[in-house]
Amino acid sequence: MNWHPITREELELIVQKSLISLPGDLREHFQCVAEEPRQVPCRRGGGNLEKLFVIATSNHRLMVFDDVEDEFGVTMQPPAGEVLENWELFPDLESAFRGLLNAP
Amino acid sequence: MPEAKEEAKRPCPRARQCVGLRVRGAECASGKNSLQPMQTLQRRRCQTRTRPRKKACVYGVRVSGATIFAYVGGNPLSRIDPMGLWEVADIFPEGAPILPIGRAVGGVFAYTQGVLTGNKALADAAMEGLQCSRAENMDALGVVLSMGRAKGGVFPKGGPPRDPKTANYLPYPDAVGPHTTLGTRSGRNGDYTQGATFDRNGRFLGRTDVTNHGRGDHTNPHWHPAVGPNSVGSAQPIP
Repeated sequence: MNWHPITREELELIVQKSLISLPGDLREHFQCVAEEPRQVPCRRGGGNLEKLFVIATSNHRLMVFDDVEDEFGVTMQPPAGEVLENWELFPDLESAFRGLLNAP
Repeated sequence: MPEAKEEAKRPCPRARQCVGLRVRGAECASGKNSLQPMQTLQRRRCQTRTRPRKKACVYGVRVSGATIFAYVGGNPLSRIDPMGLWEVADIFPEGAPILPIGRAVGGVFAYTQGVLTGNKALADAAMEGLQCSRAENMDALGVVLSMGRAKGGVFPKGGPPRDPKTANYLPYPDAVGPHTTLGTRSGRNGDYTQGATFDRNGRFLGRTDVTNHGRGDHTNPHWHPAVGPNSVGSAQPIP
């Protein structure tokens, strides 16, 4: 089966399902930092230019959804005009969100 | 038909794999079957076998599979088969590289033995052997890791076992050395096997994904080095 980029609708469904398993306080906190999914340019392993969805921002850090690995990721917000190249992958939304909040 | 006879006598290039051990997908060394892939002879044994044939089989045609395994509770994988009625090929997926798997497992075992007993020469020799057959070992790893899926969800869903509170990948509690835990992960492209690898101290080293995610820029399997106890970095080829 060939890979295809995730659609906004697919992403929203995944986030909604993941939110159900978040503890109540974390869910409320997540709603505060969540934002409308928006796409930012990225490059995987020096490959072609692609796009990643950003779903939350906190303290100059971004929570993204990696639609190849199907996992949530956290990365520093790149300077304007620069492309995302590295992000830390977490196995679920909760651990990614904790990673977003607890990051230095 | 002299040409056909000559063709039939020609030893098959993978003859060594047929001696005493049937390998699915391999060809038989005997003249009679040398032109027929063993894959079509699901329940036949190689005619050049060196082991005596078991009573339960007539050229590998089982009298009754259930009866043969009954004395091991129908579970020859985890129990002992003293009469040698069970075939190695029975637990592996079709076409699995059984010899590389055996060699790799033997190498890892020898290396572990060498380390645990302080036999540096044994450990070094085993490591050297593993490095020599590295490419084949990767194939073997891929097959072994994919077996969880082939066996119908033996491994936990959601990937390798993780701590429910911290989401940290959990080492196997009884492990005495480096090891890998397994799990099945569901992605948009279907289910695949993931392995979480730990060092001898139980420190999470990284994760193996047995898939290419349907993309040409990912190898199958590929490796994600650990960033934290529950996070990994970008995909890269198996180190």
